[in-house]
Amino acid sequence: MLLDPLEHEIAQRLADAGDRGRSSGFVAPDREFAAGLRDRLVSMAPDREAAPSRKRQREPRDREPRVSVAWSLPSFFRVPRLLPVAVAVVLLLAGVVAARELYVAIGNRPEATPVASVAAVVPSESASFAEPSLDASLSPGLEPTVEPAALHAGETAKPTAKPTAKPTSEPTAVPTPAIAVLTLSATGCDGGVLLDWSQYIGEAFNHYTTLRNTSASIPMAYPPQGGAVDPGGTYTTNVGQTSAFDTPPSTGVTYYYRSMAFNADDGVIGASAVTSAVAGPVASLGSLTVGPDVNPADTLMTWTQYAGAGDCFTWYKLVYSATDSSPSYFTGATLLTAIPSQGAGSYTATAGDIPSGDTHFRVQVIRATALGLFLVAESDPAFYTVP
Amino acid sequence: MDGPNGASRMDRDRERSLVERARSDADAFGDLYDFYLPRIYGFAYRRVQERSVAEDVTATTFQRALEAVRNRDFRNDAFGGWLYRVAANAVVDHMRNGKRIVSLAMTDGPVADAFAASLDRDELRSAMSRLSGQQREVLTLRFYDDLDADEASAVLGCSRATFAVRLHRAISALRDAMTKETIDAA
Repeated sequence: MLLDPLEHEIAQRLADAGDRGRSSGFVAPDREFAAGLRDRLVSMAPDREAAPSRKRQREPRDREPRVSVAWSLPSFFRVPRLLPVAVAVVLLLAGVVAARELYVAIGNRPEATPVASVAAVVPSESASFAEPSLDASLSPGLEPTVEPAALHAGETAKPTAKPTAKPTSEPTAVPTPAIAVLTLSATGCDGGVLLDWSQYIGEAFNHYTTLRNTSASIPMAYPPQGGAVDPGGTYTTNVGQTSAFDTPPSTGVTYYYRSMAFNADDGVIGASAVTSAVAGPVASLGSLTVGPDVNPADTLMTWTQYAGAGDCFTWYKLVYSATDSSPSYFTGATLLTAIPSQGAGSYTATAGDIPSGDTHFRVQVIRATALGLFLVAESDPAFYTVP
Repeated sequence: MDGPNGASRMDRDRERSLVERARSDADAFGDLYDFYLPRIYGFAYRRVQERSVAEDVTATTFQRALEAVRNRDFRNDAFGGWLYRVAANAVVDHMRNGKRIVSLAMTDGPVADAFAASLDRDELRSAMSRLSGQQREVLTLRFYDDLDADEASAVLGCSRATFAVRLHRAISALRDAMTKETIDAA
């Protein structure tokens, strides 16, 4: 990593600060806990054979139709040592320089062409596939056929044999893909609605989006239908990001939400039930008192604790500005500190924490989500001349 | 950059060897546990700020680790990074189940704020607050949690190269923000 001198100095300061922070805030694990956990873990007898968790994870795959494939190739391919000779003869006869490849096409739809999906390059005269790569578009319930063919590059498949592959278990026909169930919690907070949904578990995930409506009808579709709207701020392609917020147009009004997971084609692959919430206006913490502490060089700030729901609280953020008479964390005011305890009601800034001079202060209650922060409550601005 | 945990990194070959042996040797897993326990516990504690919760997260992480190393399919290439990733997920799971449904504090949470608070220069602290959540997260993982590139990239679920690019950009952004702070102050 190439850093200029200033960046290098910054990196060094960050490293020093990290060392200090880890040292000052370090809490060693309790000895009893550490020893107890160690004993518990090492006492679990090692067992090379047993892997129950893995077995459980593989159960869904075990239910997929297994296809065993075996067939006969043209007779001149059957003796491996004659293969190069045979290939050379064929190439000479055909006048083609390109190398030959054998492709296997798997398809089970009546209209499927044998070259619809190349599953494997076959290196020898016979093969079997314990776990074949199945075309995702295969129709369940139909018997797949496997057609090996000897092809020139770019040549259309002309099957030389038509063996059939039979699944070892009977697949169940599923007309439409099942939509996974997500759970959605919509919590009405001061200043917005907190949305928290369960993580989508499965394949083909592309993104999440949550839709809003003024009625309880939100079709599982995108673009939104039936009066639903995409409020924005809930789209994410990170499957692990499962919380967001909405600041609906009106406070005191019931809004309905549905969170959905989509595949790359905007097809719904997971959806929650419709859940409602009512957001309130941003709450007021009243006045913020700012003045000298016992040590007059220090600055003491006191405020009324936020009395709203704990679910709607992440931090108090104390901010200040020398120029903005209405400082806010969301408009670039300088952050003095963040306090993650809802029960806190005061903070002392030691001398030097805040530049001397006329300063405007404010305390704000902020709720954090995976996709952003929203303002829950705030105090009136306070003015103080920092010594 | 040794922290309070003693030697900061485990030799990669030794780690691979221990993980391989841990598939059938409880003592080898014990050695891994002894080395990583304070690190994982510290990583969790800095985010949850509560001893009992940090213990839950730590226990969950090592139980998953034990199950994983006994699985023949476990990719034994970066155990430490994998462990931090599991711990990060455990923090999210715990928070999600608890009353305070805080998203992982890694985006813009108390852990980043605590890191910022430990900076020794006002303009650097202020500049940190101007960075995006992702940039703060990258700096926090690298410098506050003291993770190496392999470990941090595992936590973030990105490649080592991507992490290096993000880290460079975050430091550059911090430099720019600091310059702006200085100009504003003047």
